[in-house]
Amino acid sequence: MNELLRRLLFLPDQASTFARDIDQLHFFVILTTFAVSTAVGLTAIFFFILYRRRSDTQTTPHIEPPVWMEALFVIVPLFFFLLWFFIGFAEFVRQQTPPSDSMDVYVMGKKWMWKFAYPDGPNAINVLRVPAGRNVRLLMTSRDVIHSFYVPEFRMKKDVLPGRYTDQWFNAVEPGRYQILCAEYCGAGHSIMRGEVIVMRPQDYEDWLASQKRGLASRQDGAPTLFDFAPPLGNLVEQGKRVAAEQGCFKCHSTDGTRHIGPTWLDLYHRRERLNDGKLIDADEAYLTRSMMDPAQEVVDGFQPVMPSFEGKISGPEVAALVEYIKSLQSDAVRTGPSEGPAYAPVRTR
Amino acid sequence: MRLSEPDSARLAGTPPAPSYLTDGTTVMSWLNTRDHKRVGVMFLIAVIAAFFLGAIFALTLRMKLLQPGPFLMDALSYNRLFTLHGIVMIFLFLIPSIPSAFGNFVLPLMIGARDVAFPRINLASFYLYLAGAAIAIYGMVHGGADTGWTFYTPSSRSSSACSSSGSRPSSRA
Ligand code: HEC
Ligand SMILES: [Cu+2]
Repeated sequence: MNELLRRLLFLPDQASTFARDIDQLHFFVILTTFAVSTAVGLTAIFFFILYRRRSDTQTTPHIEPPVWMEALFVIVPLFFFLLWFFIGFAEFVRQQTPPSDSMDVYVMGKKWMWKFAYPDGPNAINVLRVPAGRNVRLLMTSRDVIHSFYVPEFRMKKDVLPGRYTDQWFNAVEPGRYQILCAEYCGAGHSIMRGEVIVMRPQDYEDWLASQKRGLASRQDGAPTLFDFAPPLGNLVEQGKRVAAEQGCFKCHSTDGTRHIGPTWLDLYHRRERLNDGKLIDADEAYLTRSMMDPAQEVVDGFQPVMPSFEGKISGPEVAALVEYIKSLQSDAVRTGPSEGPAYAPVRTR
Repeated sequence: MRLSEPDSARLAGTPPAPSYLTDGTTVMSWLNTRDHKRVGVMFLIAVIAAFFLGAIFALTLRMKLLQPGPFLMDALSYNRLFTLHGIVMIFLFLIPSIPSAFGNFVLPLMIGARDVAFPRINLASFYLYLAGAAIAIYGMVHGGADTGWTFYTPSSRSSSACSSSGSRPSSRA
């Protein structure tokens, strides 16, 4: 049934763990609305004929339906729409909540390409390699305008915005190659802003990663290749530390747990932080980024809103590096090796 | 279901009002009308004309897609053309079609009113629509916006048509 409908509607393969559920909701919605609108249309035609005007002076009778019938016409559609809403909402929440064991890949959209950076490995342009059967979380941002990361086979689409991180996770079931499209009009090259997800068997992926790391090490002192216009810059965490020092973050923030003008960065990542309006938030990547770009918006309880905005002062890659640095500051740090540089050089725009 | 007595008996005596189609047949009688049905019909004709204009743009777009790469037009003209298509279809067809054409024609009948409350303003709205449409199309063709009808920033800010100073937005992220 699922497969038949998928083919009838010319939908692409279902290559992620979400795809089937999303399609099932889709089929449920369109089959129901198709059946009901057909019934309404046929009834309308039937009534047109049955109640046609038979003489010039004929007027229509005044009809008053019983209350139960009116209630039926309200409650039945309402029931279906609420049902779809709740199924869709549950699915949405599932898609928005990356499992804690997912591997991270940084994604940067830019006119008109996709760049990928693995915290513990290489960079790539337009080709995202992931192992099959692993949860992968994409931390996405844009260098210029709004783009949208869309992989039809995964039924996955999420806007990629400048100056902000959005995330999105998936688990690709089958090894294969799947197209990445940009789904938000972004200028003259929008239609060629395409990439590819290569889903590899886990072992192949590990081999590829290892070979890439070897390649990176040897290439770092060699001449840059064509795809290398952003040479790896080493360790993201190190880089973040450098940026923090350059930008003077340490004037107000400590990394050893002591309170300063601002809250300490130690164990900040995923801390349940209380804001001055009483709200409890989870200090995730998005929150950390917002704290740098618009600090006055969410002020931590017990602190003065004195932190300046760094919007325009630090670039996207630098924000990624800062976030990785803050993430590394765990009192029971489990992180073993340092992570490698992002796909992009931190270009200072002014 | 309860059916009330048909009131045909009550209406049988009154002569039918002249049809809006025969009540004056000159062009002026239409252009200067205060009859909601006539205004509705004029709107219908105008929005259908806008629809055909938008459809011509759409067909040109599809024709370009017969072949990948530069064919018939380059990327910039393509983007301008679909923006033109979008603006004509949304602002000159879709939005006015239901309320102005059908709303004018059937709504007073449905609520049993003789006409709309302000028939002259109703007629004026038609001429305002024509003037607005002319300005919109002139501006589009003259300026050549290539932003899509949603005009999303920051993309639209960097479009040559939209930044009067010619300055590019600061790409900060
Ligand atoms: C003038 C002092 C000052 C400087 C400089 C400063 N901050 Fe802050 N920062 C604060 C204060 C005060 C707060 C708490 C109030 C708030 O949330 O705005 C804060 C909060 C934060 C938070 C949220 C912390 C939490 O516990 O939720 C982050 C993340 C952060 N800053 C990052 C940075 C980064 C990165 C830099 C350097 C690029 C920086 N800050 C520079 C004063 C500063
Ligand atoms: Cu794009």
